[in-house]
Amino acid sequence: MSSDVVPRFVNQPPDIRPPRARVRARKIAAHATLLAHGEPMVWLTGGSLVVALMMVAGLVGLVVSQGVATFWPTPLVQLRTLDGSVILGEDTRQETYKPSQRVFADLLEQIKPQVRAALDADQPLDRAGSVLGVLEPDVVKLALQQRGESDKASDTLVNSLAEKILAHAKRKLAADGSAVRRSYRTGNFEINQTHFRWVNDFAVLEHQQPPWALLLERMEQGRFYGFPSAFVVDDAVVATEPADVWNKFQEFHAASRQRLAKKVDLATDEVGAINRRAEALRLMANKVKLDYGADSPQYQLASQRQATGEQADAADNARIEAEIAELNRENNRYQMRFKTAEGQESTQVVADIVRAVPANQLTLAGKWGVYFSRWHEFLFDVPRNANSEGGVFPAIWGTVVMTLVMTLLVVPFGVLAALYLREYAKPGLLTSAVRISINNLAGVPSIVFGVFGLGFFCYVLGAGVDRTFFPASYAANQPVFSTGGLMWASFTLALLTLPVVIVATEEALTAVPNSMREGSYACGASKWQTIQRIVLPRALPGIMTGTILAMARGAGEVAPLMLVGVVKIAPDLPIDRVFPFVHPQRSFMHLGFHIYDVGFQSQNAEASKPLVYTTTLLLILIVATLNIAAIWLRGRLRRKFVSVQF
Amino acid sequence: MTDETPSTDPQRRRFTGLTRRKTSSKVRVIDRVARWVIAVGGIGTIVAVLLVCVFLVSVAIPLFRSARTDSERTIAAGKSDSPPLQMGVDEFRLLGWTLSVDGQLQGFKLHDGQPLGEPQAIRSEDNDQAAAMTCCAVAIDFKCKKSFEDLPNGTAKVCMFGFADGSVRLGAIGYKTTFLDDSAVDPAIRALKVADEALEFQGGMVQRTPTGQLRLQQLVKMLDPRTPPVSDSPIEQIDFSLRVEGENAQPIFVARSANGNITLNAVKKRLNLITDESTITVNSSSVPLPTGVSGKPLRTLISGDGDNLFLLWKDGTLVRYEMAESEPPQQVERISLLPRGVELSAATMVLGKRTIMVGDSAGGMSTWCRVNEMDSTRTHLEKTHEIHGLNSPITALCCSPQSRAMAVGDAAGNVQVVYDTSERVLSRVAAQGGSAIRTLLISPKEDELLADNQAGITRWDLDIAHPEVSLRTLVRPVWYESAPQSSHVWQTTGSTDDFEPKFGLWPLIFGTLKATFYSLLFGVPLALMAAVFTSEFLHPSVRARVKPMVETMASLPSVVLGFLAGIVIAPVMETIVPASIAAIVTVPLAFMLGAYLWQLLPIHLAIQYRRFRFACMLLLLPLGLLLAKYLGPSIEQRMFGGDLRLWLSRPEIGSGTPGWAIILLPLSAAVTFLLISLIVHPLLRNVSRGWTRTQAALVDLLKFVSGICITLVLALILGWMLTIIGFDPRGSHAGSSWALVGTYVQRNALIVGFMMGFAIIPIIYTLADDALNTVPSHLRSASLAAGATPWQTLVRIVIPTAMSGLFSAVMIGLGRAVGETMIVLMAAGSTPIMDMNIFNGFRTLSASIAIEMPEAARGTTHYRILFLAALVLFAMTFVVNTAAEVIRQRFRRRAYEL
Repeated sequence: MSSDVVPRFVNQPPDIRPPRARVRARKIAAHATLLAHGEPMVWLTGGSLVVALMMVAGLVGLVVSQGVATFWPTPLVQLRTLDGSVILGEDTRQETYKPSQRVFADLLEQIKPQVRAALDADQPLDRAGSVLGVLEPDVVKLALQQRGESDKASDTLVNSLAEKILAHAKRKLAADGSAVRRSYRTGNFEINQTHFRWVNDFAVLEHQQPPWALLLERMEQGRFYGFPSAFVVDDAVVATEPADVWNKFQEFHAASRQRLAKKVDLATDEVGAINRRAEALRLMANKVKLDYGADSPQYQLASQRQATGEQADAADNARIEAEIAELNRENNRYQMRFKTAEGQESTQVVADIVRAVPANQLTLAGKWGVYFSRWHEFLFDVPRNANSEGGVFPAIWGTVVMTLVMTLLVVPFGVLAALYLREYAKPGLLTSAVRISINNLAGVPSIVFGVFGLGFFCYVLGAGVDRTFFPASYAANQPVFSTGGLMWASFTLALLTLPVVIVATEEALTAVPNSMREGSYACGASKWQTIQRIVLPRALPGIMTGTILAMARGAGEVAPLMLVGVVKIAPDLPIDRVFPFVHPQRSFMHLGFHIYDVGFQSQNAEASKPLVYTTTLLLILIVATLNIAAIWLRGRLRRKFVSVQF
Repeated sequence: MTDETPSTDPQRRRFTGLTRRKTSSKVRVIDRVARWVIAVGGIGTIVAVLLVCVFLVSVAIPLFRSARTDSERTIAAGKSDSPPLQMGVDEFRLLGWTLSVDGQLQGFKLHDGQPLGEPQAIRSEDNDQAAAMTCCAVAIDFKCKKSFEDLPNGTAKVCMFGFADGSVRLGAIGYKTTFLDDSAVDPAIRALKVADEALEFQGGMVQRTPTGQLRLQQLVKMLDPRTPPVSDSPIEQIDFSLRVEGENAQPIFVARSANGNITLNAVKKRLNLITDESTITVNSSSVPLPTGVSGKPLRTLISGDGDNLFLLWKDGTLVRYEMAESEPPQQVERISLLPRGVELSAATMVLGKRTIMVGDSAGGMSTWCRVNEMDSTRTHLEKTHEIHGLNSPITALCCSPQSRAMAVGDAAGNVQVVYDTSERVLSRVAAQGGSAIRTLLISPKEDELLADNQAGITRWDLDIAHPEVSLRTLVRPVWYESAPQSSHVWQTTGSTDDFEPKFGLWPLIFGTLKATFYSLLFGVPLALMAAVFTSEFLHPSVRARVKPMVETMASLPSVVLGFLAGIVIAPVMETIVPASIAAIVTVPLAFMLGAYLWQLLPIHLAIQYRRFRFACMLLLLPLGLLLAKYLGPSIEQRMFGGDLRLWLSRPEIGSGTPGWAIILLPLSAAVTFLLISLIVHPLLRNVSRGWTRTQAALVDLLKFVSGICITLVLALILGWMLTIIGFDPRGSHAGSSWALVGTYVQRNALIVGFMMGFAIIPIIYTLADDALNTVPSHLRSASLAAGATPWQTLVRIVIPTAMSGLFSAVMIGLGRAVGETMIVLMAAGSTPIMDMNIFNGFRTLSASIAIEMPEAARGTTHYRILFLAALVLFAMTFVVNTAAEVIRQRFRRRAYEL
């Protein structure tokens, strides 16, 4: 034990044996001493800390491990099971359970047709013998001899063999009768109507990793697992060997994807522009009608203009439609044929394949390549397949921009309020009451602010804005600002985080020693000069801490946003290439809401769970980075103040 | 110093002889501007934040406003010689119609009562010689059924007419809406502007809509061909309902004819596809009249599904018949609705036609509804609500086509608008003339009230506000239609048109409190004890690293916690319920066991290895968890019949003893601790003189182990005793709402409590740690110097000093738990039930707001109720936080004084 420890950390009785003095030593009961130390209670308090720490560590560990591992390509496994099915997929998770007797009864019924088929196929005895490849040929031979060759597939024989096979499988169970089952992601939703399949370990006959098993990540319908059987150009097969097909795929894939991207651009940008033009003309005509009446010459003119505009748009539209059709036609020329593990044929258009991964052939470098390309897609692409796949770029974008706009709003007002409270307002009962209220507002549930945002910003302010600036849309009951959007969401969160900034700024202002203010006044500076040149620079780190804490709080809040403008899928970002470039009325996507939506409301929660983990990881990283920055700044700030105290 | 301070007085010369420079005007202006900007901005910001509360109140308050009836005007449409039997108003409030007792349908302008067009007679066939109309029944809701789809917009009133020749016709009276071309009408009409008063045109009313079109509303009637006569004398009373069978609505009606016979008739309409003619057949059966009642029944009513028939007599007798498919009606119930001496004067059915509302000669109103009997499929009529307010006999009743609001008129010409479920009297007006009200009408949008008496028709603008809500319905149990008893219900959306939203806030408040309670139960001890250890026993260098780690927990967005709780932990927890419950006991035990073993170490080793003490604690957590993993399932096997979840859901499996034992463990542990400290410790203190430390520690260990055994035995005995008395923790019968434990639901309070711990532990921890640190260290030093151990110092000096700080930390944690949204939204199952069961879900105020707010249309009752919920949440947290803040400030002052 080091000697510099503060006395209160000494948790040990001083040696009570008195020095050889004449004082009579009080005899201490050993048990009472033990009790006085309260060791068990101390350990209980320590245990609480341990539990709390482990809770954090476990949670962060879970998210990080799951989030980081999501995009790593795992091998594709092909299984043949006792019930005769063949499964190709990725092993996603496993669990131990106690199978009920019904599981075995069902399995037995499923084995019987297999056995019958194996026996009926007129094969040499020894080959047919290892029915399903489980039993020793001798066992089968013996059984067959007992029954006689004639009734090869008699019911009793089939039953006895099936039971033997089942017994063989049961031997794989653990001593207490528990079994391991794994969930395989088998994809091919359009064929199987499911994304996952549970397979009992004891029912697996054969377990292999076929080299040419391919994993396709598609634009729609989720993943596809299968073996390439042919590459088709213009309905003509150009390659049949897997390696050739793969080469052909790589040859044409990039170009197809580019055409697809071009098509999407055309569809969103140009068609979007035409629609917007038509909408603007229509609104204009409506406005004229409202202002001057339906009989007025102004309205005639406006409706004429609308008609000519519509004609021009129709021509434009036809041109773009033709272009899109041409791209579609070109893309549909290149197709790949696949055979699934179950033996079904399936044709995939090359352009619809986002990524094809020959997972079992990947080298380490190849795996890293796939890993990073998936991360790249995740970070910089738009979601596809009802948010369950693809990227979260719009959500990242929405989170960041919303937080920034919120910060721009909250900091000036928060600082103003704090300056007023600390520097200008006369201290008294009122200011302390206000201060208590502000402190309390930091604890008011965020959803309450959401309700306020919806009711006040959207329905009162927004409706006012619409009535004043967009009367045509307002009359046609098309909300512009009177519904949730980026701007109102930022306003709401600014209100929510305002107390954080006010409190932090006030603390920072309090921490500026009065002697410095007095010094400044003594030099003849005015109050504002003092605040501007002396107080604010000193308080800046504190204000920044408050700002960052507010940003962290704002970035992590979801509940109020659900009421004021966050949506599942936002087709357009609030900033784009369309005049006036900034559209603060648009609704937006948010990482936190993405987690809620995909994790909780998606149809296919199991398949999108990994994606939710990565989104979670991303959100935690953003929030934690902001928090750590705040903590670091706080530390710096404290050091600085300790040094300037005089 | 004062002398050296530059004065702002420019006139004053300095002793240095230099003239003082004047403060430049620029600086002054800027200073003033800054002062103003900061004051205005600062005050504005603070006011803006405080505005939140004001706005919430301003939206929620109109909920309790009563209905408004104004712009009273008497219009002369009513003719005193042939009073109207029925009235109607279109949805734009332009034209109305009356159907007089002699079968004349007359449209009129609503604003002045001038007749529109010629009266149209309703007869059994479309010629003047056919039998005259004798009675008429109108469906309550205005939805035009399939058979009248020629009538546009579904705004027709479906009616059934009875005729003097004993036949009936199904028909509809409605409005045809046409949009006129501006060029095809007179200039006078073309000149109509938006919001101008409507003009008469082609026997209808024309108006310019806000979008600039000309809209013409015309009164039309449509009649099906008459049915074969169901009686040989005129029909005096009729009531019908439409049963939807596939594409078509098949009417079923009850008719009472002048000779006193009552028949129940099912109409079938078949369309011949080739000739396009429909043939109508009627399947009649006679209703057996009960014995012992005199005279003709006052009303004959048929329920909405056409499965019940009610006959009401003037003396208050009600006889109920049930109709099964193609069987004659069976009398199943006969009750008296009114006390002796009071006569029945009016009766009608409420929207949905499941509830009967009756008015009596004393001015009282009551509603009667069929309710299920406990533990049986039988139903009986029960009085669910009673409304007072009128003193004269009630002469007219009319149900709103949208809600359970009713208009009631009495013999003295008073009209009351009331609401059934909330028993509210919304408004009360008197019609012109003061004579008995004959007919009443509430318009389709509940914005117009019409009353007819001798003086003619009186109309009012009606603003019905939020009749279904009163302070009483929000927090007290309410008897809803068809429910067996009054109850707290939160149910805001339903599948049918006549669904009645149920706004009982109590289940949500209960859910909020439940979430808060369980999360505090888990979070508070953990956070406080962790703070105590961090502040008092941890080495500063370790502390500097540990504290930010716990604080990171605070920065986890709650949506992340919610996702992990609902999607990841809940499914796992479901499979390890016994182990996770066992862990609550074994983990603390493991730590205490560690402590007793640590005591066994010789003193010099204990001091030497003291810095590894925390590391040892870290190792004990897995030990506790392992212990739980093995103990949990085996306890489940021994005591809960092998399956805890089955045991929980079926009270008939096993006994309640083990459940009680687990619930009572904390109590029996406390009792054991008391026993040991009161009996064993004094004994040991005498005996242990002269023992070595190791010996004492061994005895202590023994005491601990035996203490555990005593606790277990005590808990089991207590549990056994409670079971013997007849209490079961799962409730005395299945589904009892006050059972402590019960059916395991995947998303439940246990999960929420655990996960919410993540949200509140860091807050409580940080604040508690700060509070403990504020205790001046000289107090600690003095205590230690006086020979107290650190533990004694903590318990007797530090904690009492920091008590109010710790308390305020807990309060602030409570505030956070009350308002937490995402965790409860994703992990609590969102079922608005009131149930103590820790393994069941619930719904909090915040979750309700998050789910329902986007769907609630602005200004509706639902919208305002959600604002009220937000206000309740706001108030709860504000009170808690203010209390915490006040306590904290006081504590701070006291700590400085020490």
